[in-house]
Amino acid sequence: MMAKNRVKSGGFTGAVSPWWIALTGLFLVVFFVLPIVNNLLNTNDLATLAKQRPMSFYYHKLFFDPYYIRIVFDTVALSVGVTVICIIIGYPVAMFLVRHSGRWSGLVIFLLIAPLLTSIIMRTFGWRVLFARRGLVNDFLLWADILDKPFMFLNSASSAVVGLVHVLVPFMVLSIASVLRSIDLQLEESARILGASRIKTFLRVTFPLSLDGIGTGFIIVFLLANGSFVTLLLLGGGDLKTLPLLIYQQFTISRDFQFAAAMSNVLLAIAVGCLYLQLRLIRRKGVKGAA
Amino acid sequence: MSRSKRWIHSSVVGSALLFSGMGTVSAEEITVTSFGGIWETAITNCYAAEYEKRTGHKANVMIGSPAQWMSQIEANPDNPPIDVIVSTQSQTVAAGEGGLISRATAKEIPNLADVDPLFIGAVDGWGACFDFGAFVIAYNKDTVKNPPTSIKEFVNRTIAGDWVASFPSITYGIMPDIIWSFADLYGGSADNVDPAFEVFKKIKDSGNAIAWASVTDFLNQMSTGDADIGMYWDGRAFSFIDKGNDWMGVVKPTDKAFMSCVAMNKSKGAPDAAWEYLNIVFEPGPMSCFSDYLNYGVTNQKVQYSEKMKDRITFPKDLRAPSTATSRKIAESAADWIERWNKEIGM
Amino acid sequence: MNSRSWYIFKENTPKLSMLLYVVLFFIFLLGPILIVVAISFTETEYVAFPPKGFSLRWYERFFEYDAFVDSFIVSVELAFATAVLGVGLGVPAALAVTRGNVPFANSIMTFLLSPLSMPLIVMGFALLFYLSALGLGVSFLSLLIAHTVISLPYVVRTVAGVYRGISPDFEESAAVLGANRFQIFWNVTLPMIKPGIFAGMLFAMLISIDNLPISFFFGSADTNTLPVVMLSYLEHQFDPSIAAASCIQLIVAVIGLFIVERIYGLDAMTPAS
Repeated sequence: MMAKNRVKSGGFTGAVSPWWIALTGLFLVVFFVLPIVNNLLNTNDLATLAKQRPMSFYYHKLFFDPYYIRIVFDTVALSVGVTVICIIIGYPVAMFLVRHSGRWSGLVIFLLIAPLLTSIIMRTFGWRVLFARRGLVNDFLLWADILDKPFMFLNSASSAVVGLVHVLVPFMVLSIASVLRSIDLQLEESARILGASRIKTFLRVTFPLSLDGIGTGFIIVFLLANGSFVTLLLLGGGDLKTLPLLIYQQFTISRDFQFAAAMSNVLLAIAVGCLYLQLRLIRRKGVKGAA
Repeated sequence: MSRSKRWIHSSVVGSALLFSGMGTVSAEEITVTSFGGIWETAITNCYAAEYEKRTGHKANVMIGSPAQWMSQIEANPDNPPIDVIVSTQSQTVAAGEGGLISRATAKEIPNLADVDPLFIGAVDGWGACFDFGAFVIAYNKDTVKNPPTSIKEFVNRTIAGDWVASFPSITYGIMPDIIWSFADLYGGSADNVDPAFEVFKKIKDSGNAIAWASVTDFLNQMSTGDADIGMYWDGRAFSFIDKGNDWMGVVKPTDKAFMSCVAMNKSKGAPDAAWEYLNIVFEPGPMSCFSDYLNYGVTNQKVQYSEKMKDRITFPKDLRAPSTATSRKIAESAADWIERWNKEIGM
Repeated sequence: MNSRSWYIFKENTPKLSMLLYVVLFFIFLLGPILIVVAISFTETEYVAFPPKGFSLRWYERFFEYDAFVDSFIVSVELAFATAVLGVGLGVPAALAVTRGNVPFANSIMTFLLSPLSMPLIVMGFALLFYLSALGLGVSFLSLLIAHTVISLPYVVRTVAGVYRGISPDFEESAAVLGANRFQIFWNVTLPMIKPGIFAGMLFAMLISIDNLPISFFFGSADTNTLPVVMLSYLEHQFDPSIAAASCIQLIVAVIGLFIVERIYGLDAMTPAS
């Protein structure tokens, strides 16, 4: 019996007092909700040499200046793109892990988790070396005659996308795998016995049943991609800019804290929007509880 | 529960409690800042070590960039995480007027009395610059047989495709000042940087330029051959050559290279122990030590240079340096220029 | 039945193409990491791949460079402290929401898990200014608070997941036999949810050790964590010592994981529970 299934209602609940949540709740309100509210209302007395402007100036910029509209769009587009790629790349691996790895499943899980143990800097650093003008990727592409002159990957969005996919795909695989694991094989067997081909069985039986895992994975990967700036900082080059990267640059270069606050609120709104979507979708499916 | 599990659990809790008490810094320890690469070696060996010798307390050296440090001080004005901040002329003026650093005169830092007044004026009385360097042209002698003699020639030939050149990226902290220097060179000013943007647009569009994100990045690009030539600091280039890289050559441009001088100041909320450190910074002995490492000019007039150094250093009269008013304008406009750069050029 | 067992056998043998795909996938996943390991042994001053020569100089450099060593110690201390605080706050909350008759339990659970969805850079930026206004400034305590906020959901999630799967009959029996709440918790509940606590602590530590967006804002000589120093180094210096630092961090993490594997098995780490 899977731990995910709810304990039947009517079970004994006297062992735990509802007050046990008080301290934690207070902690979160004081150190999680209030800082965000503080940032939203921008009550900080931020004195910089840059002229003090009203916050509306910054929001106007973010929503009406084409350069910034493009950045907000890029932030979301990048997150969605990376998530979709993770689904496509990760699904077969999840299938393999659950159905075909047998004795090796422990090793496969270890290999999936091992990268998560490494510093994100380590992984991004490795890609930076690979994508350099004289790095292995260019060397290979030149050797294979796909390019006749090295391509500046590090100046384009491609290296950032690859870097993000690399960091986030294990999350997707594990999410899908955990749901795939719970699919009753007999359902597939019945379909096959009734004459459906392998592909049809997958499309009509397995895949729909695994949508839950894809959904969970989508949310996790999207939110992580949305907030990431290290990968973009080190791999993104000039072309691709997203909100987290700009917030970082405001703090370390331009020093317009008000602008940074405005950007962080927009980013927050995107995240909250996604969270809201997640709540609507999952509630509709009737699966309650922890994501 | 098995014994091994119990042991691990209690040792985890125990160590957590033990460790959470650690990691505090004593009152006379100070946190000082430095640029990266060989700069950090010099600061650690010439200044931080001297401070520790004289006071018995540690000076922790942090690398980073001035803007970041300024942000950190600004977010914590009463108890800044940084006691001594390194910054360029424009950044020093910004920090001073933003209330982040303390006023420094010969009263607080006795050795300031011997500093060339030019360098005190350069930062409008907010302490003084302690070293200065020129932004010259460094090239690979093997791949660039006929190096340019002026900045304009360098720019024109980059656009024409004579080589692959490397320029600082916009994320490099001193870039706003460099933008000003290009504007100044091409007939503009701090109020009108259009000439600079036009030139850089042409450079970017030529496809013959790459960007260096950090001072070490440039050296890597030159070493691996990613770049054949670029604009770089004279001191750092000479230090690199001294390490055995005699394939690199340096050109002192005839059309006045940009001079950047770097100041060090105490942040407002920092303890008085920082003044002691700053006094060491401006003392002739440690200054010479710094100059030896970095081949930069230093500002205490009592410092004697060797012949080799006199040859290498370009003195202010041959360089392009911003006035105090210009520095202020650069500081005010930096954020706008950065945004404009991101929109128009993006390198 | 022969036909059925043959059928299952056929289903379970991986197709060659799938095997090949998975192998390529893991090369993709592990390649950059192995490259960094290789770079850490290079003799050259600059980052070179393939590495030239073989030298341990960059590992020596790691131990000589105060900032690396100090920040590594801070990272480890912080990870432990975060795990402890996270568990202290997370376990009661998880238990209460799951089975403590808390009103609006689903919403509260969502609330407890919401830090997971927040962009970390926003949290870091917001917390820096907020905690400074409160007077806590840049200190180990601030870092601890910030890291706990983001690690709490992991603890809550794993503990709640495990608790949900345990029948309430045990607790009921203990209550019937006259035990008070504390006794029930200590003697009955706690032993049963230990795997969840352990997994949660592990997640909390992993999240804390590699965290950059939040730790970045709280950087100072005594609160710099290793990722922050490494990023700074990468941005302002960029030499192979970063590769060595990464490898050392990896070794420590692998040792930690090994210990977990020994004690609890890796299944505790997957989100299935």
